[in-house]
Amino acid sequence: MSHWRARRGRAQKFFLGVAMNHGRGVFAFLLILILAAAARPLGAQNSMAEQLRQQWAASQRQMVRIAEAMPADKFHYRPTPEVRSFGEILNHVAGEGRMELEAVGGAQLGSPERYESLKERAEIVRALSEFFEYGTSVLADMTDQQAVQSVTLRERQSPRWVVVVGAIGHNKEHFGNLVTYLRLNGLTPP
Amino acid sequence: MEHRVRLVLLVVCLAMWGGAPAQAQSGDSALLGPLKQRWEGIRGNVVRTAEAVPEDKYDFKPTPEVRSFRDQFVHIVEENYFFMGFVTGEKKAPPSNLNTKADIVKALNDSYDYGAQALAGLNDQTALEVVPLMGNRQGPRWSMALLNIVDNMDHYGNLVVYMRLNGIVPPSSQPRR
Repeated sequence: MSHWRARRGRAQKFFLGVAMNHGRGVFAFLLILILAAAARPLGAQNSMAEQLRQQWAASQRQMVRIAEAMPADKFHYRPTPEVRSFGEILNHVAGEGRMELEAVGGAQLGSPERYESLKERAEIVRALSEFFEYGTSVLADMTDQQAVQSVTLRERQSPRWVVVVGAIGHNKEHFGNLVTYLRLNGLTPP
Repeated sequence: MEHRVRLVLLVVCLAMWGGAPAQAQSGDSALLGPLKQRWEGIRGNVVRTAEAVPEDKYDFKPTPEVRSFRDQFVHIVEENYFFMGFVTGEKKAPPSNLNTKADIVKALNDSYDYGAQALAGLNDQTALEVVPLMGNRQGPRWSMALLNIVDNMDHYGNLVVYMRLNGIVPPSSQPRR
């Protein structure tokens, strides 16, 4: 640790000296070096992108399992008249999340309501799985540097990681709805 | 060594984002700024739920085997101290003997204040530092704050259905204050 500090101190003095001699061009060059190095995937425990990949995979398992736990004839169940049915929640999660992950991946944004016409369990679960697979492909090569860069979504600029975490949180909030829907049907959530 | 170099580089990237004009006011980076916003967002929904539910409904549960409103709120208080304890590195015991609605609303607010203080005490470097987590795992401090927020949202998702079953419109479905 102290060895590292000493080395870092020497490096700072060196860079400062070089910059004083050669001006802003050198700073720009050093900046490019830093960005290039940071652009490599960390793959380490403290990698932000790796945290997102892990949380995404966990969210996928959880949502697909709960969708599969509900019998097909209960996909139209809703606890009160003014709220979404079980199937409508899944279509909403997949549609909103798909659009958000498209923003993260730099793709053309589709409608968040694209899955709302789906009615049957098989097609709803398929769309849900496709949505998660799409997210997995977007996150697969993401670097930490890309994770903290901003993208445009809903006319706002947000760092990519914030959009992904937003989608994961949105999934989880609706998972919380679905758990209670299952309980109200005498079923134990997976 | 290489691991540490990369951490320093990531911190540099975060700090550069923090210097962007739109974010300059808060002084927070691309990591801590949004994390604090999310913490305050879920606080708003949970605390407003505890306030919106009448005290005589606190023992309502949709089915016999699940948590009541009261149990959910107490659980959220406990998990806020638990998760944020990994961020601060201390083990702070949650309050006990939460009986009245007023006790519970106060305890919820206190637990979110504790989390806000934990986040305020971080900088990018300490947020990204790998520390021991639950179950003998290791990970960056900020990941426990994220898990805390996401788990709160799970419970809030339960509470939304509880509220609807009692004819209460959830705070997240009401016009923003």
